[in-house]
Amino acid sequence: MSYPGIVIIGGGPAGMSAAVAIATHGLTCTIVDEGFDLGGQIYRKPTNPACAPAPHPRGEGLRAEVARLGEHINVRTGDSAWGIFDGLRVAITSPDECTELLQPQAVILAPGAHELVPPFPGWTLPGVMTPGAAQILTKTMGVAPGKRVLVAGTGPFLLAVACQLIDAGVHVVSVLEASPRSAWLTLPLHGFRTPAILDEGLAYLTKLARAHVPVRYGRVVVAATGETELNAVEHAPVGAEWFPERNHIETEQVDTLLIGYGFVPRVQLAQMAGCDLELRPDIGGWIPVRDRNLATTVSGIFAAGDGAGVAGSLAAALEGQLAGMAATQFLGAIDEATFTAARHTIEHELARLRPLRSALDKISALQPGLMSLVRDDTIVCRCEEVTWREAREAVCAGSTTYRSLKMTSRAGMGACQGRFCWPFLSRLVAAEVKCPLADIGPPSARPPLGPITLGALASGLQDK
Amino acid sequence: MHNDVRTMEIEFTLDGQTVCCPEGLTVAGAMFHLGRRSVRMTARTAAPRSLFCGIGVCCDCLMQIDERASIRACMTLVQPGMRVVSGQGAATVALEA
Repeated sequence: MSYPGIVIIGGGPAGMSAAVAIATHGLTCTIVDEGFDLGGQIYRKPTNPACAPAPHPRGEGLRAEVARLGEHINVRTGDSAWGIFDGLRVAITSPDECTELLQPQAVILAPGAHELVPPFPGWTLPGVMTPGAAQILTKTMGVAPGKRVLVAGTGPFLLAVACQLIDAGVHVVSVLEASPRSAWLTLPLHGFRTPAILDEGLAYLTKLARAHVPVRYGRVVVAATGETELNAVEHAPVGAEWFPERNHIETEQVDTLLIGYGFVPRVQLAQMAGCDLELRPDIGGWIPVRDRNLATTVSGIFAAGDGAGVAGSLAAALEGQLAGMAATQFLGAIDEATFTAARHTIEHELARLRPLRSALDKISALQPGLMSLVRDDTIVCRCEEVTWREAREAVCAGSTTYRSLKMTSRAGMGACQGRFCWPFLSRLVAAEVKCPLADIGPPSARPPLGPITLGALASGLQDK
Repeated sequence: MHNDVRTMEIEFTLDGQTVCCPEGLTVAGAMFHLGRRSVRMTARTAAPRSLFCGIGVCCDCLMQIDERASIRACMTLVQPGMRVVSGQGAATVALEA
């Protein structure tokens, strides 16, 4: 096996920036990313050649930089990193089912985040999906997610996706934002140091207004209905803490609901490596503990980007650069003075982004009212089809940890390994037993992170 | 939604029937293109499921692809001649002699 250099997991803005920083200082690295191409979710390239290529100068710029430094950067797109063992051994499997154990001297975790969706009646119906899933269909394949689309949840990503759907000719009925308009109106106060980001937001609102797509603030989806597919969505205005006013429910006939309440960092590889985690609900939930150099608590493992705390693509690129330099310094290829100077510049840039980001985090912070959407017969674990009644019975019988709830109710035991249910199920459990969310803990992470066949596993056991 | 580039149509089978879709679609994307958003029935309640997270995390869109079970339809590009089978409830295991 060839020497992988520093292994970077994730080829989005953080991973690509880390690779560029490492290669610029003369070290070798390998980017492992499950996607079809580099870019991550934000800079994802169209796979259908009939789709107009998404003109994203920052994404294209990073891909070009990686290509220019190709002599030092191995790109392994399509390969899944599904486990970290014995320190820094990273298990990866290719689409043709070859498994390899990479043995780098340093690892940078830049796996990004997935979307956060609270359980509510009907959320498992075909036609209900994350805004990100619809964005990929539309932007990279030219496929419409449905005919009449409602976009709901919280955060600026909803506006971006709604605009992309409009551009693609999809009928967007309206956008429902859980937070009140008054909260959004305060953003210019916090974003004056980052006017370009504010302009982007304004451009979305202008486009939606021109397309006559209303943005309705202070509303949440309370239920989705349909027999075999979605055909209607019920939504209601919210009072304090996003508790829906159930006597004012409106029903809208739509075949597609895109729903997202922010993002959850993908921390499973950090967990498997033994990195300490901390609970930071403001930036997505459990994140790896990091020092100023973005080093985790395991020597040689660094973490950058949304996977280490959701902060958006600009911050992710900066963190990737810092983690790349820190890993390079860890291996002795940059001197202390050069590194400290670079870190100073990057920290300054990150600080410039922070006020607007913190304001957005506050506006979109999950409120307890969302937890009231769950009914007794609502599925809380999509994989194992466990209802809240079943999970709550297990909780009342004493299963108050992820591990024990999994054993007694099967909630969290399925293929997603608790990644989709636990952010909310842990809150429901904490509310039920009246303890702090941090006491409930993150779901345990075990290899393999995604479904792989026994054949693929066995291929890695053969001596090569 | 499409610009002027001509796309190649790819032929594959879905539950034994020959179907086609433009190149560059994931299996999940092809299902939507064909107007069949449900990709499988669940094991416990035989409820239909479809694409949900779109990025390979939630595992809602698992299908049988080229005789391999539990493949994420959102992470797999359609290839010519691919054999795609939608999930039909509880899994059955066929052991070969």
